[in-house]
Amino acid sequence: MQIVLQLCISGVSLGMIYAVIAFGYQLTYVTSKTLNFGQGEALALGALVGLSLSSWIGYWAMLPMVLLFGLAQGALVERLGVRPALKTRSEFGWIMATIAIGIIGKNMAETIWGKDDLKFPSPLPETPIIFGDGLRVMPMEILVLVGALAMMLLIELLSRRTLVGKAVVATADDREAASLMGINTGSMITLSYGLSSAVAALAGVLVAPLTLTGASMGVSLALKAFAVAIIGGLNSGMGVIVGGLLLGIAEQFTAFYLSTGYKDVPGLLMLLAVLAIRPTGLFGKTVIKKV
Amino acid sequence: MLTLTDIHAGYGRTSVLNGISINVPRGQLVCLIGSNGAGKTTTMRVASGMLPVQSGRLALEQQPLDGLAAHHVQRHGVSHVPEGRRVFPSLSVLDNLEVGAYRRARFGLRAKIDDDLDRVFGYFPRLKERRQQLAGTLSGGEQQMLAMGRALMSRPRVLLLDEPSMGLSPKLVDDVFAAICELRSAGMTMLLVEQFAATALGVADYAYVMENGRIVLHGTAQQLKGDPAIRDAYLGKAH
Ligand SMILES: Nc1ncnc2c1ncn2[C@@H]1O[C@H](COP(=O)(O)OP(=O)(O)OP(=O)(O)O)[C@@H](O)[C@H]1O
Ligand SMILES: [Mg+2]
Repeated sequence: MQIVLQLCISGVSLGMIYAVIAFGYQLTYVTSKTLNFGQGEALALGALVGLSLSSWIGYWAMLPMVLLFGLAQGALVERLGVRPALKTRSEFGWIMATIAIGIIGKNMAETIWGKDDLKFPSPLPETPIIFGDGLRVMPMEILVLVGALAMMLLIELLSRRTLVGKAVVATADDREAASLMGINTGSMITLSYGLSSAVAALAGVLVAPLTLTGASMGVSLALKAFAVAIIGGLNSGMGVIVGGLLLGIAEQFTAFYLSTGYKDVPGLLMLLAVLAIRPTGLFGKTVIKKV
Repeated sequence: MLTLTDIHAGYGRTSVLNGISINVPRGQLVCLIGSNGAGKTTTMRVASGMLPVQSGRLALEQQPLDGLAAHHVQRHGVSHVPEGRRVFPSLSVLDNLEVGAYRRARFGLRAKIDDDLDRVFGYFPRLKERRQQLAGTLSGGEQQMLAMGRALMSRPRVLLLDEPSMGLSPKLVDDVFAAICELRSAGMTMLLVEQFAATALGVADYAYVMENGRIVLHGTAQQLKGDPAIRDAYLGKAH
């Protein structure tokens, strides 16, 4: 029983990282029906920029800077890659463009920070907190959980409570009708890309002390988060949290009871199962339009 | 006030409008009638910048609007209630209205929005009762009221209405026309596309008849109501 609980706890923080990256995929998908396939590189860049900045201005002051960096990086991806592709009505151009920009970002990161993995110093004590009779939780794992939830809640709140947030929702609902309200829907899509990358960059900073930091650190995270976005549904915030937690915990169990070599299998199995049973995702809504 | 001059437009390579000229004078209700597929919606889409023109001119008073994107045309004061209502289903009624006033609300004129809300709730009291409800769960008639109310929130100089009565029960059609009449007496400039041609001609000042992307006839509503050809072709449909 003890070990089961311990595995769950370890799975939660990784699961929340998957969830928050998947949430980033959703942000751009709802407004533009496109995804940033360079999300993993956005995450790695965020972590590396954060690493350099934190040695200079300290961990907590670095966070808002990484947020700004992510916003700018995502906006750039949209302007350079996605918008031109959508303008020429090239159906899959945005896929190639976002992948290409991701690769460029990765090469730049390798040039600046090198190809070796770096150690991201933990801002919190690295001794586990012991709960009850021997449940060990790393303070950093709690920070990951709280940070990921806070990001999602904040964006949710902004989109419900602020006028610009409502304009983003309107753009997601019906882009043409939104433009009839005087909303510059292109800017709303740029904003959603900026937010999506900002979330990924901050997720990178959060996860970096628990993993290694380097230009390739985001590749498998982004891929699994993509699976989580499909599993949870591309339009359900609740779906990615549940999907992320399921995957994070399933991976811990596989690694412990089978072998760390099979760690990536449960995600793929879950993905295949969901695609076979419920292609819109576990929590995906089929949109009903009234006539 | 709103003028379309010799407009050619279409989708991809198919041309739909072949030289349309329409003038909507200030404070008047101008009505556009024609059979299905004549190009009425396409004309409205051109007028609000949703569809770029291939040639021809679009202007509001002296201000040229052709070539502008829809959100810029709206900022000059043209508000379009599109065919099929197209309210934002995942926003509440109140949020739909607020988004309708997006440009003014964005620059901190929130207090002024309250006046517009009161005005819209005056036209459509039903919206006030439902203001917290998600627009996607409203009935068809309520969605139509919301689409009109939302368009009014920007304080437009010209209102474009594309088949506001489509799919509504006779009682609701009456309500929609009552609102249109009220707006007209308040001095609103309007271009109206209507399938109930007789009802529309009853309230309009001037009317254009469209066939195959061309204006085939225009005149005061009085003249057109008396025209026997019009009566046979379009006026069978009163509700
Ligand atoms: N998005 C589109 N792509 C291609 N052709 C279109 C498109 N929308 C409309 N058309 C075509 O343009 C022509 C005019 O359509 P439009 O919608 O303007 O007619 P309408 O007068 O509004 O008809 P209705 O009374 O049925 O609403 C039609 O032949 C239609 O098939
Ligand atoms: Mg039409």
